[in-house]
Amino acid sequence: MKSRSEALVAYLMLVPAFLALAIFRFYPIAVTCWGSLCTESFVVAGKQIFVGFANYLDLFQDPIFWKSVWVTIKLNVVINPLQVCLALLLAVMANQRFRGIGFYRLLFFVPIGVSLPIACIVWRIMLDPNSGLIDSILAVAKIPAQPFLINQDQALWCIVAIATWKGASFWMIFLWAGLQDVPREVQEAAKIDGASQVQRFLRITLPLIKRPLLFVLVTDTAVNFLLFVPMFLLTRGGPSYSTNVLMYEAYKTGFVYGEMGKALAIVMVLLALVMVAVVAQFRLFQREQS
Amino acid sequence: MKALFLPPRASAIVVILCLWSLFLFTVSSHAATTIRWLTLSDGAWPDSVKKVIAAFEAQNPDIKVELDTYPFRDLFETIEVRMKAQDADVDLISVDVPLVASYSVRGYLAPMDEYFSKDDIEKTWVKPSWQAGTYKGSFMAAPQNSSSQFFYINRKLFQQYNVTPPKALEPGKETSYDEIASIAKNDRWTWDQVVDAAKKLTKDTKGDGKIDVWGFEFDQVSRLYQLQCLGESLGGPLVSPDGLKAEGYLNSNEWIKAAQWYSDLFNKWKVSPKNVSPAESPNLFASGKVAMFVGGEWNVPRFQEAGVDFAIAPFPYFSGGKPVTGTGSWHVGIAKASSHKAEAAKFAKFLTEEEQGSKIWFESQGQLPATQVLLTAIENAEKYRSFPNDAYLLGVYEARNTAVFRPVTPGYLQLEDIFFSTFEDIRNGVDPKVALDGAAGRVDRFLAQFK
Repeated sequence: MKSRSEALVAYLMLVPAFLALAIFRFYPIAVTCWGSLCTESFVVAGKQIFVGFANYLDLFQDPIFWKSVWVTIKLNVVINPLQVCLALLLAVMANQRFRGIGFYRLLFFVPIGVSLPIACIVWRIMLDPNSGLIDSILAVAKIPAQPFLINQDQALWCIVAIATWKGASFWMIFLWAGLQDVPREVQEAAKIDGASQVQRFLRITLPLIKRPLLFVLVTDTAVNFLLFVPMFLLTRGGPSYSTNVLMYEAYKTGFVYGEMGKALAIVMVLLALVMVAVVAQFRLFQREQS
Repeated sequence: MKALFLPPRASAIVVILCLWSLFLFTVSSHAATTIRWLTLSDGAWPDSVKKVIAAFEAQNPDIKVELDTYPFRDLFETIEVRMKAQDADVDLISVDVPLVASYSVRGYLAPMDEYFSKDDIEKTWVKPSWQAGTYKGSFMAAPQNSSSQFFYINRKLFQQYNVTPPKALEPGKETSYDEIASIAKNDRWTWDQVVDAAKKLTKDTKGDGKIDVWGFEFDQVSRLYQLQCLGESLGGPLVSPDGLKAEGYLNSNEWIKAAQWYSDLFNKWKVSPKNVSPAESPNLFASGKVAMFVGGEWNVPRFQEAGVDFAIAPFPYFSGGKPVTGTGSWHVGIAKASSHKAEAAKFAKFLTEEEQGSKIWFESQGQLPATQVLLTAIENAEKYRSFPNDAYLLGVYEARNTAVFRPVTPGYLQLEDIFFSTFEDIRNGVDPKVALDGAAGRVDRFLAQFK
C-alpha cells in the first residue's frame, strides 16, 4: 500500500516535467511532422492542403537536397570529434595548477563571451581575400593569398574552424567541471604505483569523466547538426552549395522560397539524422560501460 | 453588513481608478490610428521615407505611420513569413515590382481599386509602371518610383592614370535632352572598352601585392536586376515567354557568353574585387577605390555627399549586341490582413500619387519617378539641364529606349535567389556553363509546380 502511494507521489512529481516535454518537445515535433505532409494553397494564404509524402518524394529527387545531406554528414563527422577532443584538451590544461594559470583560463573563456554572429563577422573580415589579416600573415610566410570563404574546397573547413574556435571553449566548461570531480587521491595512488601521465589519463581520468563526456558529445552533435549562423552570415550556403547544410536548406526552402511543407520535410530528415547519431553515441558508451 | 462596504479611503481610490480607466478608454478611442509599413532599411531609404511621413502626418493628425524596416534580402523573407501568417499588424508592404503577381496569387495583397480610380491610375503614372502594379485587372501595388542604370566615372582617377574617359555628363556643363540622346546613341561604351580602361586603372599603389584601386565594379553584384542587362544585351532572355521554363534560356549561349565575361572580370582580368557585397560596393566608388561603377540613379546623392569627382555616362553594352538597362523598382501595396486598409490607402496615395508626397520622396531619395508630373518636370525644368540633375534626363532617355523589365514569372523569388547564388559562384571561379546548367535545372524544378 505504501509503495503504491509512493509511486503515485513520484508520478505526480513527474507531471510538470512530462507536461513541459509534451508542450515544448512532442507538440512541435508533431506539428512539424504534420506540416511536412502538407503544402500551402496558392489561392488562400496560410491554408494547408494534405499531400501525403509528396514533399518527401520531391525532396528525394532533388540533387541539391542530397548534396545538403552529404555536406551535413561531412561537417559533423569532422566537427564533433574535433570540438570534443579540443574541449577535453583545454579542460585538462585549465585543470592544471601553476602560477599564472588564471591568465590562460581567461584566454580559454574569451570565445564564450563573443556571440556567434559577432564572431562570424570578425572572422569574415579576417578571412577577406582582398584585405584580410590572415592573408597578410600568410604573405609574411610567403604563402600565396587564399580565397577561404569564397572557395568551394575551403569554405566548409573555414566554418568548421570558426565554429570550433567558439564551441571548444564552451564545451570545455562541462568537461572541466567533470575533471574537478575526479578524486585526487586516486590519481596520486596511481602515481605512487608507477602509472605514467598518459596511463593515468586513459585509465583513470577518462573513465571517471564518462558522464560529462557523453553529455558533451550528445549535445555538441545536436548543436552542430543544427548549425546555421555561420552559413547564413558568411556563405549563404555557397560557394556551389559546398556549405549548404540541411538546416540552411530548410531555412531557404521555407523562408526564401516560401515552400514550408518541403522545409518541414527537410527538418524531419534532419531530426532523423540527429536521432541516429545520438542513439549510436549512447549505444557506444553503454557497450563500453558493460 | 459593514463588511460589504469598503472604508471611505479605499472607496475613493476605487472611484478614482474607475474614472481614470474611463478617461484612458475615451482618450484611446479618439487616439490616432497607427499604420505599420514593412519596408527597407538600406541606405537613405528610411530617412527619405520619414520626410514623407512627417508631411503626411502634418496633414492627417489622426493617422500615424510606423516603420518596420529590414535590409533588402531580409525584407523578402520577412514578408513571406508575416504575410503567410496573415499578420494583421502589417498594413503596408514594399513590393519589388516583379513580385506583384506572386504576392497577389498567394493572397498577400489587397486590391487597391476601391481607393485608386482607373482614370487616376492612367493619368498619374507612366503605363509600364501602373501595368506592372496590376494583376488580373486589379490594381495591387502603387508605383513608388522607377529606376535606371548609369555608368559612373571617377574623373580624378582617369586623369591621374591618363586614361581617356567616355563622353559623359560632367560637372559645370549644361546638357539638353537631345545632346544626351546623341551621347547615348553614338558614344556609349562597349563592355570591351570598359575592360580595356579597367585594366589600365586597376592599381597596386603601395606595391604590397594588394590592389588599392580597382578598375570596375557593379553596384548590385551578382543580382538579377543589374546582370539581366548582360545577357539581354546579347539577345538572351532569362526565361521562356510564359515565364515557366529556364532551361535553354538561362543557360543559352548568350547567357554563357555573358557569364564568362562576368567571371573574367574577377578571375582572368582581375579588375573587380571579389567578396564585396551589393551593400558594400557603392562605398568603394564613393571612397575613390573604384574607377568605374555601374549603378542605379539613387547613388547620385550618395556620391555627391561623399565628395567624389564623378561623371555619368550611359550604361555600357556588348559590341554586336544592343544597349539594355534595368528598370522597375519599388511599389507599395496594402496587406490583405490589414485592419486599417482605408488609412493605409490614404498614405499610399500621398506617397505615390499626390504631388506633395511623391515630390518629397523624389527629391529626398533621388530615384527616377514613375509619375507623369515629375517626369514632365524633369524634361522641361531648367534645373535638370545641369549636372548632376541632368542624369535624370539620361534616365528618361533610357526608360524610353533601352529599359527592360525583369522577367514576369510566378517563380521570380526562386529565380532571383538562384540567379544570385549562381553568379556568386561564377564570380568565385566556378565554370559558367556548369553553373548556369545547374541553375536552369533548379529553377525549372521550382517552376514545374506552377504549370
